[in-house]
Amino acid sequence: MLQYLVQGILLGGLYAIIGIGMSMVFGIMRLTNLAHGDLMILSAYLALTFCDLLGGNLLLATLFTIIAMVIIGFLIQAFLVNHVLSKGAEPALLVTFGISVFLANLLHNIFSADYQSLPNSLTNTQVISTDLVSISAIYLFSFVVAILMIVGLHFLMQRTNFGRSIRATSDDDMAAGLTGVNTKRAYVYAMMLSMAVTAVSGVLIGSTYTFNASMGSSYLIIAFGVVVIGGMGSLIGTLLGGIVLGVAQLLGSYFLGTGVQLLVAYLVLLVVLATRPNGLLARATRK
Amino acid sequence: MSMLEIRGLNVNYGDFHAIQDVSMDVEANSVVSLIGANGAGKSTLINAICGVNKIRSGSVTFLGHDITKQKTSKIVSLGLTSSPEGSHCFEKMTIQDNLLQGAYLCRSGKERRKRLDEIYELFPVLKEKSKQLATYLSGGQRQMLAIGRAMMTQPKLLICDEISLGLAPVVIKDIYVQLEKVREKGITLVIVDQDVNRSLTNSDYTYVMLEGRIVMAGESKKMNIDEVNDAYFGINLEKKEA
Amino acid sequence: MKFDGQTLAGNTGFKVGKKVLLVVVLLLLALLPMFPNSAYLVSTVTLIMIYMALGQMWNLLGGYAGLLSLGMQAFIGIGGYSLAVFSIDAGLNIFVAVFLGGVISVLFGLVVSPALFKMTGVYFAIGTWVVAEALMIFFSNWSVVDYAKGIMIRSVYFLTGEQIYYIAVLLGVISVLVVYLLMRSKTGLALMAIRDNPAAAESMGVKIFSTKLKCYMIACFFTGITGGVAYINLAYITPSASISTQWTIAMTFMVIIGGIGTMEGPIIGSIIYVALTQYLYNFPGISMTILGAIAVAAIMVVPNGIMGTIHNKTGFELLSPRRIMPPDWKKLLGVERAKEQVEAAGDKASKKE
Repeated sequence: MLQYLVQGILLGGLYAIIGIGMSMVFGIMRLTNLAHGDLMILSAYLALTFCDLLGGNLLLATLFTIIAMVIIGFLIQAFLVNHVLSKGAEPALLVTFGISVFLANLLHNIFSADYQSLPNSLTNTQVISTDLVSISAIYLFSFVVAILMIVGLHFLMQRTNFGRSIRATSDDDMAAGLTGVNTKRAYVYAMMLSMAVTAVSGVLIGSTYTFNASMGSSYLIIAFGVVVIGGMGSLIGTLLGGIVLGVAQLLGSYFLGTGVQLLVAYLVLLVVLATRPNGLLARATRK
Repeated sequence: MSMLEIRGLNVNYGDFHAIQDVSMDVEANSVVSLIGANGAGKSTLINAICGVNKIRSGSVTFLGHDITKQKTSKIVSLGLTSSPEGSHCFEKMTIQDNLLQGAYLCRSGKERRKRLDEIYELFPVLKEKSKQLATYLSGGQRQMLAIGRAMMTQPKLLICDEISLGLAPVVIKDIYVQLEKVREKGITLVIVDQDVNRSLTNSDYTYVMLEGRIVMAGESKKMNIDEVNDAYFGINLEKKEA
Repeated sequence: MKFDGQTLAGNTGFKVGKKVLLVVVLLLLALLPMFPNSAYLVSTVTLIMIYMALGQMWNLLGGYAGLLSLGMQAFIGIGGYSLAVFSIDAGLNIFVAVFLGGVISVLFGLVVSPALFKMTGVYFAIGTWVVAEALMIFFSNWSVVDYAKGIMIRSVYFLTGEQIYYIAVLLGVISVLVVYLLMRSKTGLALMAIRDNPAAAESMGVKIFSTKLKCYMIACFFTGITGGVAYINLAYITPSASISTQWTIAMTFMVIIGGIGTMEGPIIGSIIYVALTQYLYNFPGISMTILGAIAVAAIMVVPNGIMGTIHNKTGFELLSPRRIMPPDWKKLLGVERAKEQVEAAGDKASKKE
């Protein structure tokens, strides 16, 4: 039981990272990126490919993956999403849905349906190993990375001129324009930033679990769950959301068996969606 | 050449021809009033000048630059901005962040601080509440914040849209006093208001809008308030020059 | 703004032409299996009809009721498994089994709707999807449906391809008819009012919640039935294939490419979808990649889809869900929206009498 709880919390860190990129994009441009899961899986495959090319140097491969994903983020935002954002939420949603279908099938064609994993020395290392509880190094590492990223992004958003301009744009894009912000460009920056985070999440997921091309959509639901539970656009909330989902999933597997562990997480998500659509942390809803 | 020159401007709002063949001039270091009833097209015109609304035809020239099809961000960098109708404060940001955001284009943190202090001097009430979220401000304070934020961009020309909308007379008077100080800093002002009398007494030049057109224009001091009122309500539709 | 007899009269010739076209299409559909060498075409049109029915229901929700659902595949699974379980384990007639699938879909829709209808827009879209995913996991762990192993639906083996074709055509025609009649009923009027201005519609007495729920129930029922018919055709069902996002992808893309919020959109979309997947059959996987790319391109270039764009440009509509509306209605609405709302209120009042 304790083992499940601890692991659930640590898994929450990993889930938080998955959610951060989606949360940012939603918070800033009100876009639900349905391709988020597939972009994450794409990152994992990119890291795998770079790793092969670079002779197994995962750290360097991660760096290249981040760069590649930032470029992809730029392309998606500048050439696709920016053109439909003004037409309302649904066309933009459907564009990302199209990207999702495109990517998932493209990856399937290139890499086949075989399960892959990233070679990471942390995967099979235990940090703590007692009778009561054992902690895998990769989970702990992911948790620490999640906290570092949240703190880093929080600082960037709250304390810098760049972060302020992004917040201003998400708050009122017309007024942001009148202070000299090129709002379309701000959206592009936001997507690029989100993709950088997504790249990291892809590498961590690929190191922790096996993955294949069709898994994007289940990670999308997790990302969405994290974001909804934590409150759309709230960085600190994503950590809470990740932990809630992670613990729900592992307690589900403890009580009901591994087959239905995700079902429990989904049910928690549905309850939150129906009762607290603005997230657990949200104050009384403002109309 | 005037600071701002508008020639033959046409703007559509959806399929609605909202601005029809409008021409205007704003001289440097002057205060220009733009008055008109609700729905006369004042805000549409202002937003078109600032690049928020798309212009169908005509031209806008600011300090010799053609800004007809420019992005808002570029127009702001040239020194023209507005405090929009309904103030459009950044609700989820603190007063201080709202103001600092105004100085977004300024790269030096020190310079941003200096400008911030100037605004606080002009609007002391904003300093008191600097750490509060904008959403908790009163109507008058929001208007001050919007003007303050616009001034943080260090504009050469500042357009204040619907300066008095929904505000108590005392507050409006206060804001006009502060606008006088803004003018003393050498900033050219365009003030959009619905009150004919107040506009004529506080400006050098006045334009009257009706149904998307300029129906009357002239030096404020020389204008006859009854004639302006007629034009304002569309009682006598011929174009007049005072 | 009144459109009197003149608008109607001007269209009469056009209207007769449309009726002739509809009759010809229906006749061709009825006679298709009798043509020589039509076996391949018959199986293709069977698919088109099934997808068209799905598309019509998705369009009813996404295009008319403002309920963008990404989880309608749940009802395909329910329909398919109802067919399998009721016809094999309970020994019921397959048509009764399919009908029960529709009924269970409605019941399931009713159970989840209180939670789903608290969500709006994007939240609703994802909420429906999560429900479907949860149902998929549940089915994969449920003994009644034989877990994730899948069921061979032997009870449908006696049907010939031709018989399945007629079932599918009947379903396809009914689905079009249902949405068409619904949109021309009071409900359709209410839906348009809600879409254009929810607050104004509500203040005029349109019950937003119950109107949308009604549409959701209809879509649940027919998607469930279509699921049953789809699995009469496929004859083998697994949880992951029946409650699969592949169905949602198909529905979404058909409607978007064809034209969201138009009657003809799902028809054209289903033809394009089936033709494309059939054509690309030899390159599995790539067809979906291409479809994804086409859909993105379609949203970018013609956000209203093929039919929406044609309608906006020419005013052409084969099956108009509106009673009388000129092609430039958008323009008229933009200028005299307020006037029209007042009249709409008047119309409503006079209709109640």
